[in-house]
Amino acid sequence: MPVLHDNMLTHLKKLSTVQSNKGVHFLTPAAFPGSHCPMNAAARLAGSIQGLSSLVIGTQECAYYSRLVLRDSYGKAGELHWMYVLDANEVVFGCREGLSQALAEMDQAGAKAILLIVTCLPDLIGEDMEAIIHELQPKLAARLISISAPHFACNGHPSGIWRTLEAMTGIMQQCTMIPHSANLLGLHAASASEIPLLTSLSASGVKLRGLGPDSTLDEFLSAPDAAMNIVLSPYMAPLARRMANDFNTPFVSLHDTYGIKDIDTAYARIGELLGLDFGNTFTEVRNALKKAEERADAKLRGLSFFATDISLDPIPLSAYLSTQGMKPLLLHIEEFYQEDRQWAQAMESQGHDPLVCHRVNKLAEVSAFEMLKPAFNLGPVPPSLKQMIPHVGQLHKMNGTFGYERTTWLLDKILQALSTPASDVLKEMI
Amino acid sequence: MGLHRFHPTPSGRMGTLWTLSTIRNAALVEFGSMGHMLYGRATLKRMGKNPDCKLYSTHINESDIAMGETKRLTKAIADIVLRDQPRVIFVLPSIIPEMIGTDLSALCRELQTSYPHVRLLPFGAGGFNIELHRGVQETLLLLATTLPLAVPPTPTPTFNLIGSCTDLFQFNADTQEIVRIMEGAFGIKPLCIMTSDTSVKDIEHMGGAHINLVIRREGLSAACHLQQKFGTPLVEGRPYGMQGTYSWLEQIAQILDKPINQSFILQEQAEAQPIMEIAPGFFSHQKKPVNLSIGGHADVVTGILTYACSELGLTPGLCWCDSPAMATEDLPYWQEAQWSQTVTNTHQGLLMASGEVLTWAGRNNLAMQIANPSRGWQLYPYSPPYMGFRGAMNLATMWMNEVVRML
Repeated sequence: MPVLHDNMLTHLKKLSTVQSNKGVHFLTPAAFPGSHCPMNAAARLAGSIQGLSSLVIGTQECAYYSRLVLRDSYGKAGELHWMYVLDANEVVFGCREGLSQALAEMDQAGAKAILLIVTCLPDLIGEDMEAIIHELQPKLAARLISISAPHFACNGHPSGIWRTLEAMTGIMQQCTMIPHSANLLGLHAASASEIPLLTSLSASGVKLRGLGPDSTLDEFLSAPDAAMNIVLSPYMAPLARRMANDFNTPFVSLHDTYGIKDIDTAYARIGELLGLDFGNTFTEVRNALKKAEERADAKLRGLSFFATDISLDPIPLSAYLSTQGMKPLLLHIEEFYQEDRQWAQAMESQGHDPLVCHRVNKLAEVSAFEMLKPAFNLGPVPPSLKQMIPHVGQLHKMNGTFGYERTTWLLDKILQALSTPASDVLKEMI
Repeated sequence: MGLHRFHPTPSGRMGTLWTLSTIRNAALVEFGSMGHMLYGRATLKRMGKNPDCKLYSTHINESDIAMGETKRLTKAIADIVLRDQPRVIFVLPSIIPEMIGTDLSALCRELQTSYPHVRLLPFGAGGFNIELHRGVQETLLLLATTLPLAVPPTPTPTFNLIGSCTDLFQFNADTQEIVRIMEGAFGIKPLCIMTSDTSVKDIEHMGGAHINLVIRREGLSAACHLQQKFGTPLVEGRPYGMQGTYSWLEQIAQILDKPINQSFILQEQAEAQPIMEIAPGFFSHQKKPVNLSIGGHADVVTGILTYACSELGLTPGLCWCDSPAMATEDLPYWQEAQWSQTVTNTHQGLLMASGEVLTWAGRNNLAMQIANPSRGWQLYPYSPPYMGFRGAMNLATMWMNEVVRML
């Protein structure tokens, strides 16, 4: 009977050698249950953007299971969420003709904009969606955008989200720029009231528009009228880059900015782009982070850790924690973003080059913890090790937050976890 | 296939996965993208079954596809054997290996020698033109031809229930009712409930049963094989209605050469009497004849409609089935274009169909659902059945209340 290799982690790559999702291997061999696919994420997003219709293109499985997240064929604002299933003939000869008829039918039924979600099979047979759109668009009133969403090209689901958002740029309208305005990419304006930067921007008369899953199609289409984009989610970074390219809309990223100096620089750039001087506005929250770093210094220095929470954007976060003396050993990567290379290099300059993996079976990963012996984990730990490894859960709460306050919250959470009885057990073990 | 506004008919691959996912002491590994397995699992839970079989996926990437690489499957099987030690590992292709022509049967044969104590069983139904019902049929047949051992008949009579699978709406409730009736009428217990409540061991021993009860046509080929191999007689049909259920029991009694326990029947009739006394009169006294329109699995539709018309005096309305392979002149196969144009919110009379059809027709009473896909979650394990004596009571009461609601 074949036996798994004693050192089951030799199949994993070091972060420094990874350039894309392709280099991120499974931590354990069999997915149980594994990750969502990009189609699911794109379909869910399409269902939440009012005014956007969708067409899932693929097999019966893709179409049937897309209804788990897109329950209604007809949305409240006239959206159509339909599916196109390839038959045996189309698998061989392509689905161009049938798809053209389907899109014409959706157009006649009143769809304003249609997102074509191209799943594994049509992607594999190389159906050229861009060519189909190019040919059909002049004949249809509905605006067409497409995303490639095969699961075989990645491990996780995020590409379904960021590709959809990026594709929205293709139907955005060239608008007159409103000087004192900004898009908040990844945050709905309604939830911005408690965040100091946004409070300050609002008080200064900056017109803010939150763009995210709860936004309408019209809000997306008019996004190029903003003077700048503030990126609050990694899912939105490709959209910001494309808008910078297509509409010259400058952007500042806050989603991957954790350190005081980096936040200082980002805020200063926002002030510059919007013609604002923030003065001492953020002194209090900045000092709070400084104090948190001082409090954390002795306890975090030398502390090795895993980052296994699937909601984290772990590479920039680990790069920051490296600057605080922590030692990243293993990171779960849901999606490897273009910007991650720079953070990986920053981590390397601190002398750290962790293993990267994609977790697919929490019951099977105990041996990874036993082998590398992390002193701390950002994310869940196997039940049998819960009492031994201090850890922080529910890190999805960090998503959408940013700036000095987010880093302070994180450091406090880590310190709090380290002071729980579990860490006492660890000390005894050491 | 083409454009769909509503759920398409599930594929044969989905039928295979759903049918196998309930078998205990087994693991299932799908060679393909992991998303499919995740959603299959979620769908099964909504259908009312937490998978008893451990469901794994290998995932697959571009290099695997380009190079025809199968190492992921080899490693996954090694890991599953070490971790779970299942009796059997079912190996399923997903759409990509089907497309590139990965030979899972050959691979399983090659790997089998490394695992003498674990049976590797590859499944098909992966083609692009194969739909749900054929997937279920092929799966039941493959299980029946590969797993049962040469065992003697059980000392006391037992039965197998063939075709109780998760894709059939209310499979839990209907199966429990059949088990209850068989116990009450003959004092016999099930050996294997294939497959909604079974284990590898149960299937291995199903040759010991004295009769096979086939409750859907997809199970017939499996039952015929078992008849050939073990000489086990079979009864095909779904027992609906008071008389219908009794007739079904008479067929079983004849084959088993065993009398029906009449005191059980009298007790059932007495329990149903308050409903059965009122229901036919209730329907015949309506101003217009009460129509029952019904769409779903051909065997379910035929069974329920026969009960409604022959025992309660309802008249047939629109009737359709959900598989082209089962269509007849009287029971056509309707695709979504036909049912969505015909069954609208102006439709008159009783309507029983999938949750999706009922919602489309503006029917809020999802208790009238008889088929998947469902709008809700079928989580409650003790729902009233549609089959058997209690099913007859349930349906009659439900239809009466629906008529009252629509007045």
